[in-house]
Amino acid sequence: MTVLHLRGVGRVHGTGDNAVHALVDADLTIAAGELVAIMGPSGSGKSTLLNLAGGLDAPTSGEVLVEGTVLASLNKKRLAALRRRSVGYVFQDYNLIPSLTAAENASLPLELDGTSAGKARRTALAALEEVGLDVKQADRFPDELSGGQAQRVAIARALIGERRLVLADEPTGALDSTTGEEVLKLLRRRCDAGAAGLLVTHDARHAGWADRVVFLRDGRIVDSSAPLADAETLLEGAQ
Amino acid sequence: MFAGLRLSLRIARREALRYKGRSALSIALLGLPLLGVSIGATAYDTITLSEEETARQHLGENDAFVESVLPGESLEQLTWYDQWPMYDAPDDFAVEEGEAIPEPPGKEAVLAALPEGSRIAPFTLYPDGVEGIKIETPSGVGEIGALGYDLDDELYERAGLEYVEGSAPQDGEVALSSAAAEYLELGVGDELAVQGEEGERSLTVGAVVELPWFLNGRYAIGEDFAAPYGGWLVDVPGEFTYEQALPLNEMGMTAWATSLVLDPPPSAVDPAAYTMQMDEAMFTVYGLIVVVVVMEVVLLAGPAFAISARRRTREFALMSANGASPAQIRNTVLAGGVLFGLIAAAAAVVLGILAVLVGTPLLEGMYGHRSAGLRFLPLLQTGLVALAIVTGLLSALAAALSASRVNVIAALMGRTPGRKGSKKLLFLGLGLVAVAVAAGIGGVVLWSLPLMALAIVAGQLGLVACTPAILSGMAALGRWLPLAPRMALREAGRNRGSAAPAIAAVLGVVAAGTAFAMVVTADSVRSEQSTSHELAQGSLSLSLYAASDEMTAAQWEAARAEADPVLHRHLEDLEVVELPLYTGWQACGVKEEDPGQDAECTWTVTRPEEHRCPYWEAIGDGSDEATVRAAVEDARKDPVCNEGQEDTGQYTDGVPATTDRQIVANYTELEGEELDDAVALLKAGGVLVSDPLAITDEGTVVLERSLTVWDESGSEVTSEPVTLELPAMAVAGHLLGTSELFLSPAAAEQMELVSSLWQREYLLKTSTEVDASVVEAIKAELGDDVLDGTVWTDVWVTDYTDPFTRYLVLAVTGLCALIALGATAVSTGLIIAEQRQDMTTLGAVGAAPTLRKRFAMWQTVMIALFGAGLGTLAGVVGYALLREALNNPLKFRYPFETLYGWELPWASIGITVLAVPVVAAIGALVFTRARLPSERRMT
Amino acid sequence: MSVKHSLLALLERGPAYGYQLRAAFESATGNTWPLNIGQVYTTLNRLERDELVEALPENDSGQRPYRITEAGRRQVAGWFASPVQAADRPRDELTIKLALAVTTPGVDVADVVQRQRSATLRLLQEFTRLKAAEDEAELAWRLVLESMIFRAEAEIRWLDHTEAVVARAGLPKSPVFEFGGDAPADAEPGLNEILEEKR
Repeated sequence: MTVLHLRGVGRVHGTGDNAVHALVDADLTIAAGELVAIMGPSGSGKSTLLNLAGGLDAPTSGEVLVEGTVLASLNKKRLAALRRRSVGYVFQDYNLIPSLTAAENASLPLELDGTSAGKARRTALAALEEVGLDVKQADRFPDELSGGQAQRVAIARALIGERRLVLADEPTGALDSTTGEEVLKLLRRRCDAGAAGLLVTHDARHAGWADRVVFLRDGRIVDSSAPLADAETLLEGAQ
Repeated sequence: MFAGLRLSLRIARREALRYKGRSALSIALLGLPLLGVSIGATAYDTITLSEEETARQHLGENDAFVESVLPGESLEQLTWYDQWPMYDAPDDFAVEEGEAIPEPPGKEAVLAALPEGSRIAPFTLYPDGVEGIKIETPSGVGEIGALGYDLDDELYERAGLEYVEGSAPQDGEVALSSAAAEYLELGVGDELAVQGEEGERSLTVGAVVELPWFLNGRYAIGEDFAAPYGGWLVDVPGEFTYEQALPLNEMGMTAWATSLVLDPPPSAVDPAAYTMQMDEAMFTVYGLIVVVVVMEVVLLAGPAFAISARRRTREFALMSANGASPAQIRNTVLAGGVLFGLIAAAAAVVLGILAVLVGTPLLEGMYGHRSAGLRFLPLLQTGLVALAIVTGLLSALAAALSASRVNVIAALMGRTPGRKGSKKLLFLGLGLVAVAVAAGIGGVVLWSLPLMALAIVAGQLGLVACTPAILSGMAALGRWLPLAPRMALREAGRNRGSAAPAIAAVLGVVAAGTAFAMVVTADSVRSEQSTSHELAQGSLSLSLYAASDEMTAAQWEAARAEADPVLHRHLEDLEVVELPLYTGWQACGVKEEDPGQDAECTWTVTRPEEHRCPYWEAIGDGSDEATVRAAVEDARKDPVCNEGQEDTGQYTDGVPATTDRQIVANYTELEGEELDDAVALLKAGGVLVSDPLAITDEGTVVLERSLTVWDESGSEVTSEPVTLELPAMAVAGHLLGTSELFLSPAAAEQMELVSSLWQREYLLKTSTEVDASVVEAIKAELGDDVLDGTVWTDVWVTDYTDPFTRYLVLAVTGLCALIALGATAVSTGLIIAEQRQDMTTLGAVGAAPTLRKRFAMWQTVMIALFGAGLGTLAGVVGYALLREALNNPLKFRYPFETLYGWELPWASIGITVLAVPVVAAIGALVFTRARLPSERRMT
Repeated sequence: MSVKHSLLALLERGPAYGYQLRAAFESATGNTWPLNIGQVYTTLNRLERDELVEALPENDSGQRPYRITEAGRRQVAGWFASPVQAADRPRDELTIKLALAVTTPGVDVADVVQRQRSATLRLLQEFTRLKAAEDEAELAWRLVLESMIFRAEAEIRWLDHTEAVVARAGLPKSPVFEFGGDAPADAEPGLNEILEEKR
């Protein structure tokens, strides 16, 4: 089932001579259960793609579909509603609202959507348990959490409730490599459990966790790689 | 929707707790004005008694107070609600002159008019208004009221009389009111020395008492004293009724009974007919004040919200990424405003009530009566809470709007938002200023207070909106400054989002303070200019006033002689110089010719024909507005039209007439040759006048006499004017008092004036340093009167200055400066906190740690200077508007009114423009930590 | 890679038969370097000859366990103590290929780089998948896997770098060999076209 579909998407900043083509004619499909990594040097349009996918930014050409809905057809209010119900973001750091506890942060989209506090909390606790945080940690404030824990909360939030699409922008950038690994493993597991993930990274090792890697250069998708069917043969070659 | 609000409030609450200092400040800014109102409202409601409570406080368990007002006549009492009943007197009522006023009904007569079993006791509502007794005070001789009550009568205690000390006085004992006891420094068992006609006698103080409605009154109660005139405390079996009041009315008595306050007879007149309604203009003025105060509070508290919202930009972007709609983000910031408003209001109300609770004794002392318990106008306090919420919301509004428009992508990337909108904001600001000017002019022309309010609000908001543009303009000038001020200026220009609200806060306070100070200063200058001077500033004088008509010269002399020793005791090297005063009353020979008549003889200084202002002829008898306006316009251009309001309505009373050089000098403030000329002229029988244009080419002045005579039937007879030409000299300015004349005795005689009938004035020359305490001591010893009450005395130092105004202006300025200082400090602190990273960079390139201090200092100076400068500008512009409004009704009048001028309160301006930045800078130097953040990390 | 030292290191755990050594080796390295049993016995013989190991008496089924000698222990210690020389892959094919690519006319270097990158990344993905599949993997095996992951990553990073350097420098004019006669006619398909076709 296709969760995210980019069809000929382009994004131009400015006009005339000053026009900057941040993204050109990008096609991309992500199905449920799939984790796709986007790689490319800085300025290649990775973040633009991510912003377009979540409706934070609007394409100048082409269209973005999230779970079958064309984003361009939505007004600001309904875009916000879409982000509450369908799309979750995980950024590099400072993902959490400092004045809300971990559980409240995780249930933020639900609360914004009008879910009752009790129900939101129950859902959040379940979601946090899935990412390995217990009730005690759930009631801590962001500044009492480690960086890895904070990112776990962010992932739990990104996939809370009915949300099926997680858009992660360098989610391990601020973490040490072991903790980063854990976070990616978690993301991988969540995708294996049925979520669709789009991971922006410049780190090949992180992209290694993806099912597919998309390379971006100067706003264009230049190549994409899926793993070979049989892994065993590779090992021979590495000898 | 509701769930969203709950979330917003939760975030707001946690934010408030996270940044306690900033929250406390915002709450204080929002709450302080409210605290004032809350204290005022609570104090007012606590101390104000209802009609019923007033009646109960005075009457206690007794039924009524009855008082003889028209002895021997019958009256119809119209109102029953308070202690001053209105009544109708019979039509033919008149007291013939010389006829003895009938005695009020005695105890038996009053009792006879009341039902069987009634009790009455003499009583008065003015214990210090009754005939007093002279007593010895710690500092001399004084007088207190004396009430002839027999305190054994339980009616007094039932009325609420309370024994603070001791019990009902026995034979030869008196009770003192607590205020009198304190004044005389006496307690129970002490002796009170009373001076009577038959010499001094001593009375023992048997009790110290208090009447709940007259806490500050000084009086003594003793059986021996005279019972107060015609008033009775009444206790009837059962309730006092209208039917019982009627026979008293028949006897010329009014009744004040609790039962009738509660349930007035049907014939009673509605009290509303006699109470003053607050007129609409006053209502609008109060509205205007509320608008202005809310505006200032918004400007003050707004920056805290704006800066906090800026710091939370990423947070809002995150919320947006998680699906918060712009409205939800706006609500999150607004919730902070509501929360702070609520806390501020709650704190203000609670503190206000507590303050009144603690301060009730003080309040009772001030008002002189007990309160009926703590009350706090619940409706008004609720209104206050609502106002606080509105203020909080308004303060947070700008921040909320900008937060909801946050550029999510830029914020998430950690980029500072661009400088877009500065131009738009500038146009908005200029537009607002234009609206303000239009509304201001319209408000003045149409005399519409709502328009003026709009002008104030729009003007200040406009200036605030222009601030960023002004800042960026100024930032360009920074190139030639040293590093720290250059960075500060550039930062202010770059971080307009933070600097502008800070400047706005200072601007708001300073503008209001400046406008206020200017109005008050101009008003005091105005009143100073129109004050007539008599004796020179600082002169000490003794005035004697006759209590009755017929005073002989010998009596005046005796009165002075009585005062003399007291004066000598307090003043060394005393020289008493009489200032002879003449009057036109009973003068011009009328009294001598026919003693039955009353006469007023007025001499007016006239101008020679060529010096007369054509205004009076121009308007003729007609007085339609256009003619008057045109005539006034013409008069403004005509040099001979220089008469002011104070030049009209001359009285020929209390006119000084002497050739004594000392007096002439003191009175006219002339010196040297001019003084010699003046004295010579007076010796030659001339007069001094205050109008230079009245002097003819021959050096004389023409005085015109008008004589009004009332014959025995009281009707008026005016005789033809008579003129008199005398040598004259002009003393410019308003130095000759209200009569604008200074005569020689010879001239006074020619004018047929007589020595003042009611007043003698003596200039007291002494080597003693005279201050308030000396005057106080003389007054205390002299008492209010001499010669057995036939002559009242007054000792005073001539003082034309108005220290109250000066102190008021300084106090208001000081307060404004303090608030401005606070606003500067807080805003700067917030901005500095925002620039931590720059500081780290600076530390990394090897900047000295003190750079941070210097940077903070310059940042502060920048904000304070901009705020104070723009605020003063706004204040001056605001005053210009106010001045127009104030002058408008005064402009087209002749003789001219003194208009509100451009008197700049330099002290105030100095304090705000110079002292505030300097103090703020020093504060920044002292309180900023020198260590750069990067260095702190290393330790 | 030294089979000799690996076997010696394994014998440090205690005496073992040849097939036991092979199993232990493969388990430690996650089958990355399959050893054949003959290779194990040849090596053991050589070690015995050098007196680094000694054979113990045969067991019932005729298998001889080996035990490390004192000299062997010293040898192992020396092996762990000395760093591996980087000149392991003196003639790395990829390096040579790219070095020639930038000097060969008609080759789109970026394309070559991208192809290599895709391939290496695919490899990386596989290693990661293997690593993810075995949550409780043996530590030694995990290290081996991660070593390969990091090596792949390093290669990708080097490719990224190469790409950036090439892009900035522009392609150098490669000197054409002095050949006398005319250059090859344009009619012949360029190298790049052929590469295109290969896609």
